[in-house]
Amino acid sequence: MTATHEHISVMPAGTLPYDDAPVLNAADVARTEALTRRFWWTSTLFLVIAGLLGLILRSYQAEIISLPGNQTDQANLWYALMTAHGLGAFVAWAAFFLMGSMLWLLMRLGFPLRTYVFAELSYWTMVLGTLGIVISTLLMRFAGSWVALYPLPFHSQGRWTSAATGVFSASVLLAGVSIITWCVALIISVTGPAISGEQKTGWFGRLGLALGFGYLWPSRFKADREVPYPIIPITVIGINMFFMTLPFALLLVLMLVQVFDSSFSTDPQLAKNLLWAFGHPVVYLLLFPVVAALYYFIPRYAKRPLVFGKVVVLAWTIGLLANMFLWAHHMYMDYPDGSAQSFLNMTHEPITFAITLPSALSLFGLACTMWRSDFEWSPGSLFMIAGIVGWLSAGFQGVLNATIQFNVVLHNTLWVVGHFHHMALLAMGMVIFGIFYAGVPTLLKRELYSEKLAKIHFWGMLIGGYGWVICWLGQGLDGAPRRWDLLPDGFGWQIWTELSIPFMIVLALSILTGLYNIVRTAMSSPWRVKEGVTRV
Amino acid sequence: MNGTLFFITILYSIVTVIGVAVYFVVIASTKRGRREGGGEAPIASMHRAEPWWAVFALVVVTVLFFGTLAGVPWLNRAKADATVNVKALQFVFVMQPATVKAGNVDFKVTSDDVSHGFGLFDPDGKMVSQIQVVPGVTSTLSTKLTKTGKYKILCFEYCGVGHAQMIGQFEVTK
Repeated sequence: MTATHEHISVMPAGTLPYDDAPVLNAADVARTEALTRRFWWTSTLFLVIAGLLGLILRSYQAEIISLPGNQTDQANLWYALMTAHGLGAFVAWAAFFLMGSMLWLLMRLGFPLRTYVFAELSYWTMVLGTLGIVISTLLMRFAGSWVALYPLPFHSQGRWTSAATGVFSASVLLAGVSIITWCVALIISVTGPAISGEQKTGWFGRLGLALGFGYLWPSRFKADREVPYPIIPITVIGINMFFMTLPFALLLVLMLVQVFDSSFSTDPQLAKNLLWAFGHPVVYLLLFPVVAALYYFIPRYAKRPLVFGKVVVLAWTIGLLANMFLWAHHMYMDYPDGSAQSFLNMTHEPITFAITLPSALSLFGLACTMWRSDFEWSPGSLFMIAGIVGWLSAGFQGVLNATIQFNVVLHNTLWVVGHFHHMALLAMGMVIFGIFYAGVPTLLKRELYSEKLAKIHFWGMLIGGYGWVICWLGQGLDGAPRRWDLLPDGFGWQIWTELSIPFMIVLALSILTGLYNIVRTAMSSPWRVKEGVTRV
Repeated sequence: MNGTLFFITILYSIVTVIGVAVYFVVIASTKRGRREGGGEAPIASMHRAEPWWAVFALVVVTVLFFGTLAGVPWLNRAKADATVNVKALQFVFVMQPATVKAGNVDFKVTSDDVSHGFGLFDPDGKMVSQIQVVPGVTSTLSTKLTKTGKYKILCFEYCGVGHAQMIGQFEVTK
């Protein structure tokens, strides 16, 4: 499709879905789709690398493979791989894929990017940042973990240099710039004239409209068009990540200063707060776009509008505020004598509970939307529904983690590792693959190569994924600590590691099957889309 | 398994089974929806239920918050019968004294290098409790130790290449 100023219909007349823009500019469509494809392919390459690192990490723990060097070299390499795997899988794959996908959804909903500069900046800074992380960890052996547990990067016991810390900090900072520029791109887009239309509304008024305030207060927030529900979580995460990336960026800058001036240092307790002020909201950099995608796709599969009212909008407003004041739930077990940290921890517990509201209402509304609907089952919808069930089951774990009394025995155990792999792969990852399958006809202009392979991917990921995650959860419930390259003898924990290996292999093979299917789709002849399949 | 961890296992299992079962009922309902062409669902009733569902979720988390306040460690410290000073270093725990009598014990944990975690395991290998420590401050873990025998301390915060070798030990006597 060439970039012209003609307007094209999204759907055939009479079948216009619930909140898509009635018409789109062909130039916007072509450019946004090309950009999204670039985000998709690059992030998928990072998935392959990060996944391979994950396989090595767990296989080493099961003592199936060995790493080069003596025991100390092996341990440091394992922790360096762990650092790369965490950032690679979470940010360079999942977050990056979803960042690209949101640009596409915005365009479909009638909120095309008003400038492509920030989206391009976001893409290139993430690519450069990821390359820097690969260099600092795999080549320079930086092994401070993805959370850069300050002051550990400066106490390497001679295992990595100050330069490695510098490259790592600068690279993660670039990834942070990527997130911030993406947020700017989103905010500019949703505060454009797409909703307010002919109404005279100021910038904050348009931001309020994008947050759904028009549903709550229609006389104050007037618009030509009701805001589509998927816009609300996209706007919330755009605002959240713009502000909450800044504290971690500050810590990374302070670390860079220390690289060049070793007499400089930062208070470790403050550093930990700066880290987690970003470290929890970044989880929602995955979850909220996933929710937006579910808001977009599920009504189309169910062939009815979302069963949502005003309360879900209110819940998202609470979520917007809560997400900026809940980081201390990662620090419940930090309560030094005479410090204010315990007070902060105590206040962040109810705030963390408050952020369950958007999830609770979304899960309820999505279930109502599906209830007795003429639901269309396809690879895309199958993955998304599995993602919803994963979100529900992993979400309950999050509530338990957020409860101080339970955190006393759960904190930093392998339960936490099981929880975030459950949430990241079996909830958000499932939806990511769902978006991939659902978006193939539109974005690649091709029919899916094989539905059978998609089903193998689905069942392999479901069985392998849950078996793999349950082993971690079991180890954690038995008290096994996280981030140990090899667990100690005498506790009975090793059997769980060995048990997880067959499930991990099934999981890895299923994902490879899925990727093969998508690559074959991309290599097939274009424009052979089946008639009667939902165009999403 | 620690008693709290056992409770968490049971609670999580029950809630998850119920939640997932409800979603399976929803998924199963789409078969009927297909026969009916999707037109018979009680949409208006479901819309009316939205605020009540929000109230239900709020009640659950409120009960959870107040119901677990008694387990917040810094709000519930018993008077200590003994104090153990612990210095956490890359990659050892130095305990002073290394033997205490059974009863309420305060562990005063410090670090001079990086962040560490103090994870306490009883003589049967069951987790008892834990606390984090960052350099430059003292963190006090108060706990009641009733079992006699050798307890182990595992580092519960990643602290560098020797993290998995950072295991301490002390003894509780009658």
